Amino acid sequence: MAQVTATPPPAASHRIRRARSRVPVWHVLWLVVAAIFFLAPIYSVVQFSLEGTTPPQTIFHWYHAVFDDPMFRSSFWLSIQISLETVGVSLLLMVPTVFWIHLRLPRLRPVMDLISILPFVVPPIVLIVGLAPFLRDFSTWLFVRPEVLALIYVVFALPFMYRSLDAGLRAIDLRTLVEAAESLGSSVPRTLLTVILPNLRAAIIGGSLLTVAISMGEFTVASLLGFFTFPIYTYQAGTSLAYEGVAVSFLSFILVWGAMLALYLLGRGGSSAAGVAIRE
Amino acid sequence: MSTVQLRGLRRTYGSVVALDHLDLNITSGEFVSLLGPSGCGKTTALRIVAGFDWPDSGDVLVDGHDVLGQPANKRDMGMVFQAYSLFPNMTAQQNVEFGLRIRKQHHEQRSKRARELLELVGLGSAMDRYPRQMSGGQQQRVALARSLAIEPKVLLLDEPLSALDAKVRVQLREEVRRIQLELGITTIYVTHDQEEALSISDRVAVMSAGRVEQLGTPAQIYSGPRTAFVANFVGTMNKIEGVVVSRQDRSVRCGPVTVIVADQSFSHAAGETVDLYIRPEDVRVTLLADGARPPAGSLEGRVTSLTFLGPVTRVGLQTALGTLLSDVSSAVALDLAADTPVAVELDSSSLRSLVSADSLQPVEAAADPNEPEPAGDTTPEVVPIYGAPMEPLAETPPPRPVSEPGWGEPLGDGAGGPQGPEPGEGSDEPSDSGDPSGLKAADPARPEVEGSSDSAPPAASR
Amino acid sequence: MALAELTDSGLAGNVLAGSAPPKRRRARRWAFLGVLPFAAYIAIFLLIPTGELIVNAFRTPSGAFTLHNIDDIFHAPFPSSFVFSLELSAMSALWGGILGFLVANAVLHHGIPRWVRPAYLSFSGMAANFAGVPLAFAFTATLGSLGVVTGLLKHAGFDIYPAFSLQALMGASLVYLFFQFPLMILLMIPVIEGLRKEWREAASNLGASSFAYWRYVGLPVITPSLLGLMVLLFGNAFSAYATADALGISNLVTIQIAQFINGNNVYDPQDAYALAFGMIVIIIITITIYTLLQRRTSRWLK
Repeated sequence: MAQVTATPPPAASHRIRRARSRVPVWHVLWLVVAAIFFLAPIYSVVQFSLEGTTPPQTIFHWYHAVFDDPMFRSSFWLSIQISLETVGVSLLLMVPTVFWIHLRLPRLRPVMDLISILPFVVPPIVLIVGLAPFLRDFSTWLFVRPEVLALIYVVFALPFMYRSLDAGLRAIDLRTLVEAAESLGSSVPRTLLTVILPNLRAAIIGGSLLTVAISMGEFTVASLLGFFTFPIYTYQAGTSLAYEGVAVSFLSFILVWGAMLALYLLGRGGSSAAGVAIRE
Repeated sequence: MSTVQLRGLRRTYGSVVALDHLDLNITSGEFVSLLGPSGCGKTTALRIVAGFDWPDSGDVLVDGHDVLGQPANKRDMGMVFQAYSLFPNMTAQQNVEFGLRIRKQHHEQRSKRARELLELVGLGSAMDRYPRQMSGGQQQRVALARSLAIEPKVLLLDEPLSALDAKVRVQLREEVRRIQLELGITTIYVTHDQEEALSISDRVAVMSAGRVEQLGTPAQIYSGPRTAFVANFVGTMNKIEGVVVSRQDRSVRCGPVTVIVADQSFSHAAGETVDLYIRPEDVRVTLLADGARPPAGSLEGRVTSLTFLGPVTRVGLQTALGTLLSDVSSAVALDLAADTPVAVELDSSSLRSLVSADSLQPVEAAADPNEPEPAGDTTPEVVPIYGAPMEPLAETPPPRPVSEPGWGEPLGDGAGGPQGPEPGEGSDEPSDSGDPSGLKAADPARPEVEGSSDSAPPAASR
Repeated sequence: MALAELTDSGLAGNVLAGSAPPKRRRARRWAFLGVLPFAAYIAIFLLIPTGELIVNAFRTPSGAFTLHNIDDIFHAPFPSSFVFSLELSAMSALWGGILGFLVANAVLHHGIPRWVRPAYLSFSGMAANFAGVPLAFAFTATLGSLGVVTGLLKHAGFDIYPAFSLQALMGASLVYLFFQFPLMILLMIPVIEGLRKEWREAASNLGASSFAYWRYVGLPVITPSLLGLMVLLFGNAFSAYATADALGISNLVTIQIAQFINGNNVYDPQDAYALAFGMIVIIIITITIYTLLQRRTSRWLK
């Protein structure tokens, strides 16, 4: 074996460091393009609302005006209510169903997958066409109450709630957990409530956040059915009061971004609680 | 046929030291294994040589030329990854031809060479199969053929057999060695499986915490471990505490017996407490008649457990020196049962006193590969080539048990590659089960990754 | 709830039919009751209305079968709105797809600073959801005739008006892009992550440049996914209503359907059903193509 006496290594560190942290220009380019594209409208919105202010009004003038507007408050409140109702109905309907399918009826999984795609095939505008005759003929108490919106929104949120719950259930070993609980004496509903639900917390929260986002932003059905929800207010504010409309636009941007950030951080926090496989 | 030199490689990730001044010289045509537990830096070192990572300081020289300045795709090295490295959209033949295609070789030339290599690895009939149609072992053979197609100067293997079944592993490692000998290619092999490393390497570098603890032939590593870590990592060791009686004759009193330590470099002063190490096969056990006293130089012991390991049975013994393990031939072990009284004799010529890597002199000298072997080690004059069919050696290591308890480490190194340490990022990798060809299900209709894709509903009012 | 009734049925763990003893088979039949509430809900709020409208597309106001409604949609002004809808959807899907892929790739690069990924991904989540009224206003404030960017361009010497309009193809595509391309980013991330790093490294080790890797390995593997997602984006844009409405676009299929519902036009109301039916057909075609392409991707799986 050749014996080579070690000589001190040449000063190569700076060359190496440069090589290591290099990010191709190509990628930076597209990130910048994306940034410009995203930020331009936001910037314009802020700028626009600034242009509409004359001193001694501050930039917050229009935002104050919005908050003071009773229409804003009533529509926002209505939307919140409907969102919560939507989440409630959705969870009540979907959680037991998806749980049950995973547990006892795995053959129905493909059927559910198909059903969860249906709301995309039948977009809101088309669904309304289908619902319209019912609404005209059955002007019962239900159809003039805003709650009907919640019932319809459940359908729109279906794909996202289902996906979220499905992913959450797949991450835990459902069958084993239920069998273990049952061998210890628990009944199925009790197992669902005390064992499964806590493990689905992240999936439930994620699905609920998405549902809220959809409900708060839904415009088509609300406008065609004539309810005064928050997006309707935004629309009217925009067409009649330009600067307020823009202010509202910016506000909703902030709100939605906050929700998305929350969702992102939540998703990273460990949705697959029991999903970490232990290597033998 | 190239030489490879690693000089003073150092790599840290934040506060984690993955490599701590690694030095290694590999001669042309040599097969060197980097052996160690997860996180010892072996994969990091290999990736640095390959060009997928860069050291904070240090050099890598191939045939005397520095390669660190070269990008990975210009280094002319072949690399076999642990798994999933075959391109899923290409057949075995196309995979093997890939490197040649990049080098703009002619179609006929390429396919001739691909055929040659696939036959070399025993897959001549599988040329048109896709990775998903092949078993793990077959995929790794194709990966080997692919890396050899470009006639690289150096062959790098990153735990290539870890993901395979035990039997396939044994088969394949012998094939790898056979092919390596046939082609005479300089090879660096990374593994955590000491049986693998010892059975096919010319030399083994046992690594821990970013440093080479010992570099030597498999026999040297096994019978002459220089540090406690090497002794414990490679094979099983009994540890005995004793008090030094005299430095001159290297005698140590352990409980009721006094032993002489064979190690010529024994340098502890009288009265010091030392740890002595001895392998189970060097602990001899003989039946003791009831009530009889053990002969001079032996201890009394009681059998506490018997573990059948095939040709050998591992006997657990309770003695005045504590618990000891002894390997006896299974035929002899038939006479033993729990609580049987036995006489335990320690073979002095095999007793070693070892230090941990953190203490002084002896270890640093041992870690320097350029240092000639100190006298007293069992260095055979002819360095045998392990792993290949050959004449039986005068002195062969005893039959080894199939697997050492505790050495089935989780796969892979702790230190990551150029992706950098992102401990807080959460899991980006969906489970690999049932996915031999390696493409993870990328179905946007059901996103599995983090929460990112879930936060994008096409809003009901668009 | 149906579950309470089934507490005693025990676990019919083995779903392999045929071999189950009679008691188990009965238990399984009862198990279907568990999904009854859901089935009923879907029937009432989704399946029946959809069925109704499909049937009505082929009915006269008095209920007789007719193809007249379908025929109507091939006459002015409907074909042009279908064409514009398809064009707009295709444009925004194509550019959104390409841009989304490039940005997703950039975000996933290993050398990127740690803050980039959460920032871009959460922003994409926001932007993908920002469609509708607020988006239209934001873009009016940006590129409308009095918009900020319009003003900046005028300063620089480019007057984009009157050639440019937020209601024409280019302008509307740009607006749609704002939610299409972040959607693509989010959907592309798992696809690109599905490209194993070993392939990249093996290719590099064998001598391939970045370009060669993408050409021989990367793109061939993800192209079906890429196309599939673009088709998904197409469907997404095609169904959009609120954004277009707020922008004041009128010759879009969705807008025209809405006008029927509002009673804002003079056409035969039965035509609304036909238009809706037409939309469903197109979307079904879209989803079928998407599914076929997705299946091709999973060919790389065992």
